[in-house]
Amino acid sequence: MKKLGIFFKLCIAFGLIGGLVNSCVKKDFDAPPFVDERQDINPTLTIRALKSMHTIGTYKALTSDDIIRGTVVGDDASGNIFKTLHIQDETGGIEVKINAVSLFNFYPAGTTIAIKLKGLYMGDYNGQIQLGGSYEVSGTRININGIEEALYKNYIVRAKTDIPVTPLAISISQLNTGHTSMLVELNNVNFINSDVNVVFADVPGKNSLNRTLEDCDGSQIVMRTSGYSSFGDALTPAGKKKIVAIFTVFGTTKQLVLRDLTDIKAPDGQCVVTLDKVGDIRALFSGSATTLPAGKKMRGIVITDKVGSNITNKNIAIQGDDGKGIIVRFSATNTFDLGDEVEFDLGGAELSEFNGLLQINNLPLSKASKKGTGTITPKEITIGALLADFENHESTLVAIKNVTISSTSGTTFNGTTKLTDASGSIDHYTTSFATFSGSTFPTAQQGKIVGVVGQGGSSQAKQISIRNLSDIQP
Amino acid sequence: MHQRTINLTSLLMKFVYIVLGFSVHFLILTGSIFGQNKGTISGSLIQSNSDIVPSSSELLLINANTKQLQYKTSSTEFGTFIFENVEYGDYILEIYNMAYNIYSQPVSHQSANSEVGQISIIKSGSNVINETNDLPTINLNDQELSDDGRSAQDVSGLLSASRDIFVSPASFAFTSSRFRFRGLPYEYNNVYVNGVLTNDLEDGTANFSEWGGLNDVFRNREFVYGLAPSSYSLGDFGSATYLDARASKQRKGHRLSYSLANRTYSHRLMYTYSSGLNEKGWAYSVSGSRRWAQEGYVAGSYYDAWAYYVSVDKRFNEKHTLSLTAFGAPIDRGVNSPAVKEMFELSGDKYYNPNWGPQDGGKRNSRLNRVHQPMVILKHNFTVSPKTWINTAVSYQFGQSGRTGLDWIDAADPRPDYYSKLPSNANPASQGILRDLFQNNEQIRQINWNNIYQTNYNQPVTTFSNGRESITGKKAQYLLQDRRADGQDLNAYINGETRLTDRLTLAAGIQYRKSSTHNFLVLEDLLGADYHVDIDKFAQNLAPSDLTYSQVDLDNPNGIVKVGDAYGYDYKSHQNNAEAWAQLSYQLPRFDMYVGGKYAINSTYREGLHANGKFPTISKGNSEKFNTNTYDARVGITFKINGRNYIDVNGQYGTKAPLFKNIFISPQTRSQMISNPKNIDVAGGEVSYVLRSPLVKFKITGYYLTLKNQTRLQNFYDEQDIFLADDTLSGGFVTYFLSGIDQVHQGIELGLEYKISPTLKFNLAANYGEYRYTSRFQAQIFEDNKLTGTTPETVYSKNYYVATGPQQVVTAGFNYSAKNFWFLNLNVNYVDQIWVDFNPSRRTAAAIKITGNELQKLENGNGLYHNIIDQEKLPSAFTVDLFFGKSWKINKDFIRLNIGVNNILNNQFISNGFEQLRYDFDEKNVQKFANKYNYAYGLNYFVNIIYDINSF
Repeated sequence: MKKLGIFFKLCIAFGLIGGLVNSCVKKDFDAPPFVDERQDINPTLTIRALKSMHTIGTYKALTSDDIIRGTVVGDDASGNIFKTLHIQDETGGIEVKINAVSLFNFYPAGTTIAIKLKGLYMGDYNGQIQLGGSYEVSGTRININGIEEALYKNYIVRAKTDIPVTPLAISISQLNTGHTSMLVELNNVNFINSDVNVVFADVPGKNSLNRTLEDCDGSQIVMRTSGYSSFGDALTPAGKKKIVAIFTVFGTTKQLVLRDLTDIKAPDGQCVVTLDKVGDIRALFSGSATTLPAGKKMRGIVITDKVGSNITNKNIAIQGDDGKGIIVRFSATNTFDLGDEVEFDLGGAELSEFNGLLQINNLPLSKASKKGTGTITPKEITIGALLADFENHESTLVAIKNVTISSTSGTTFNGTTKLTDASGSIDHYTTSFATFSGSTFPTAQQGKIVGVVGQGGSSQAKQISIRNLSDIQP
Repeated sequence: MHQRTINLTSLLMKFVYIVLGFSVHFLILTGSIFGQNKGTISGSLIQSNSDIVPSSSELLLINANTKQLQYKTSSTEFGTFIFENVEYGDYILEIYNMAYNIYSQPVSHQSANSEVGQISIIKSGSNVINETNDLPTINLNDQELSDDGRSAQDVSGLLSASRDIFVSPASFAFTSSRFRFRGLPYEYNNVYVNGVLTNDLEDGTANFSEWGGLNDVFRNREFVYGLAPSSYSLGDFGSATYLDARASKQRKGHRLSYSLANRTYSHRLMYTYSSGLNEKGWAYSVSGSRRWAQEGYVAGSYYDAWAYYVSVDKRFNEKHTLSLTAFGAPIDRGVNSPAVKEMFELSGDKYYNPNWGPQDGGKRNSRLNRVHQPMVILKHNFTVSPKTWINTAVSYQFGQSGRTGLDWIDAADPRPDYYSKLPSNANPASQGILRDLFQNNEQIRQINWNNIYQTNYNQPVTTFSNGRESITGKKAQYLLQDRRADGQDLNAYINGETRLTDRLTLAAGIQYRKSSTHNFLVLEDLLGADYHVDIDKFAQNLAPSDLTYSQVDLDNPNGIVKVGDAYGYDYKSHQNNAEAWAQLSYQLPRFDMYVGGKYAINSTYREGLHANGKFPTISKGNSEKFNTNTYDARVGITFKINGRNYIDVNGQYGTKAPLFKNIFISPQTRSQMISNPKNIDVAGGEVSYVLRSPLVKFKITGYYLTLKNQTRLQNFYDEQDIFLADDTLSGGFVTYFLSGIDQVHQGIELGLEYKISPTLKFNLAANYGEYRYTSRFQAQIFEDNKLTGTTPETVYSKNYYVATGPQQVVTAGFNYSAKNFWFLNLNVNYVDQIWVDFNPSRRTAAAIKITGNELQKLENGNGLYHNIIDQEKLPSAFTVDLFFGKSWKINKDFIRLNIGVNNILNNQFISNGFEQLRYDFDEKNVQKFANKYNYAYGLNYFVNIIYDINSF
């Protein structure tokens, strides 16, 4: 009975309390549904029209109820772009600064967004036009600050449909400030030699680096990569590529911002190289030292022999497929061999005469590249015919038949000796550095002598020079 | 054994008795108006919490109305006593024994033989709780991991309600202000249950979560603090709490209680039944409780806990008792975190909690603490003789413990109060708009769960394959992870005490402890996505093209992780410890003294379970063992000036082993230890004067404690803000290693209780402490991916205050207990000298260097200089507490009502704060990574209704 009494009391007590109190604690939360934030929203202004309202170096507070709309071409997924979106419509592109990270989660490249301009500011970063949430004066510069994270959804709206953007195929020299923040495609560009097989950016130090690209025309553009990029520690490739990237400017410097490594592709076709004929290059000589214009290129075969050394060590003679020849004097010792086919980049090179001999003067060796090898058949000509049409044969390879060598001052090749055939005589010049300069010349008539036509000395004497002793054939 | 003075008194008393007794006898013989009703009063004595019979004690019966001494007797060697020929009436029984605290209780004598039963008296020098009041519940003000990865677990009012006149009011009154005795950290305050040491060996904390909700059965406590000796262990530097949770020690009967409160939890329902020891020698006890709150005092903090306990004792005979006790408390809570002043201001809420956000109509908290680590203890008590006992026990603790948190991969930081989102960090043009937004829009101030889900929903559907399996779905940018630290602890000890002679007592023991904690991550929620790939995103940022470097488990690269899967780091910390201790106490009439010593062998190592890409050779497998021997020597003497006045002097000297968390630099990634781990040198002394009399209890203690050669390791994430000695900036996941940390804790404690009248008491407790660092630390920074740290630099830390709660506290109040079973307590409390924990890197030469100019630094006296190096002191505060209790007797049952209101004045003051570990070296703006604070609760209350059935 006693036990029942206790039990009874407990039951009442528990019951009372249980009834009064609900001891459940809500801990499970339903996941919210997916929200489609896209809206039907039409622009009232093109991006080009907006940019045209801006004066470089100033800021503009945007107060009208205008809306621009563009497709995101550059997002922050790889880390190369940070707190920024580049958008582009059919008229141009603009950079939008937002003080938030990982924007690609909501606005990845390819999505179209509309921007309500009222309350925003437009400015530029050393010529690169930007939209942002506020401006700040810093010394002589005006900086545009990103739209604050808590506020950007008041201005940026995802459009109902995404308008695709095709990269603009263009060349480096054609790019101008109207193209900033647009997605461009440059074909047949390569990293310059010193920027091949190096990292895109300094990832350990988290520093941005510039790497230079050049195109077929020799125009150059900088690719700038951030030390925070996920591809920053990859190595730059060699060879020509087709590159899709976002075009930006920094002052007068043109820049490319890469989105990721898949934007570096194999090129379409090859560089179209327009070569000038050697004769045409010669024709550009005005009578005094001439600077050749950009884009001048010529190709020829080396007809002098650096082994025989019968030419000053910085010079070579080149003969083109038009039969004309010219001297190329490098700024350093020549490295090309007899028979090399060499292509010369002559933009900006000096065309001048030295003691009557026309030459390309002071050309850097980097401007010449060997393309292969070839042979030139020496033109058979008499001395008389040669002297009658000298300029046209200057620096070409000729063969004189039935000719004798003589000298009034010695028996060796060194210095000036005379070649005589049935039609006349011409000087033969051997430098003291030639391997054969100390050899005794044959006095008997020779069946054929091959040599390079030249001009030299204070008297600008016309002359022929053999390359080596095998040029003398009995 | 008896002092001369008492001999005189007793002689006088004897004389008085003779006269009185003669008179009474005469009166009775002559048939005076005094009634003829007399009887005996009998009972017996036992030493509390043991089976030891106290030595012969003096018992006095004092007339309750006249306050005059009427009868006197002594107890026998068996502890029994009898008063004969005692007139019916109301008396106060007082018991005096040199070795024990004075005991006093009312006795109502109305029958021929009044039996007072067995009286437990408390060994002096210790402070044993034998509460009958149901004082307030545990106030767990658990702080979660902050941005900087530090955790601060509040000690709590579990240790309150001691009868010691300093401990009791102090610990209770100052709980919410995080007062700690003598400012000492958790590892110096040991907590024992049935003799088993329960402090976590990995980080030193006592896991109060194990017995939250088990107050009823953990009521038997002995709390020893300071350097005083005890019979159960050598204790520790700060304090030792011994909880006796055995079935035979529980109060017999049923108890059902319901509590209503507005603290960490709102409701508590608890039921306990204890049978008491029956004739067959069995005792059993069960207890269970439920505590819950949909939302506690702080917004977004819920509480969902159960607790269970069962214990069976078998008393074979007077000598042997075996006890099996098992208990556990599964607790699930959403916690809050400290925040910067700016957020308190913008939200207008001192209890702003950055951890929750709105979801599904409720408040979803991202930081959940879920613990369930039950414990089983088997204990054997062997009373060899009345003079000797030996206890043996073995225990095992196991279970799970985890804290959740958000993690993100390539997405915006979800924390609403992250420094870069705050209006103060925005550029000036936007600050006004942002402030308005933060003030008016609650979502901006809290976690945006919707944004988190939408980000995951927006991910493209991809197919991912790691060569072993593949999955098609959305890869998570946000996920919720559970950071588990599951503990396992095996404990065994033998200890005992024997009274060698009347004066000499020897206590000794040996203890073995084997403990490990398994640390790993579990994916808790994918938040709308379908899978996660198991790689280290920070390592990936350092070397994006190196696919091996970012692996966290080289044996299972690029693991596909789904909800419930373990992933990330995986390692166990192991701690083994064996110690032997002995204590000899010698009691003389004039003084007691003791000398004690302990010697311990400690071993700790890391067991890595995954090989990772950053440190493939030193991440998997067992590390080297760090073995160290420690010792502890104590000595003390109590001068007994007379029965009421004592002077107590105690001293201690020893070493303590460094904790695992302060030895292993980055246990999540590798087994590297600090280069020269050392033992901590501890030394201290205290001098007390104690006065104990029936009306006045007074104690004043001066203490001086030193801790030397400590090391501390702290992990946190810092982007590019570490200013290295060579002026370069570095950053990432870092470990801050501090060594050579010395500190002094000194002060004066005061306790006073004055019995103004039988019903009214006045109490006062105060601590005037000063806890400071006395050395310049050496600091080194280790990046998470490098083995070598920076060159050590000096931290000018000398004389900075230790951040350890209020160093000066005073509480004063009144306690009124009325005759018809009700009481009222009123206390006024004052706390002061609360110092903010400082960031060591801000007190280095690098912190005050003028940027760009190596040779120049800011000068003392410069405003900016003081901004950087001064330590913030929090304002002092007053609070007032009021408690009321009443009980009603219904036949043999009781109904008790207790109501407590803390901080009636609703003074919401900052209880603690810390400087963030990140510092703006560039611009030296200390507000950029501003200090974080916690406020103490304002007015808070509890109401307890208890129904005691058959409690006799």
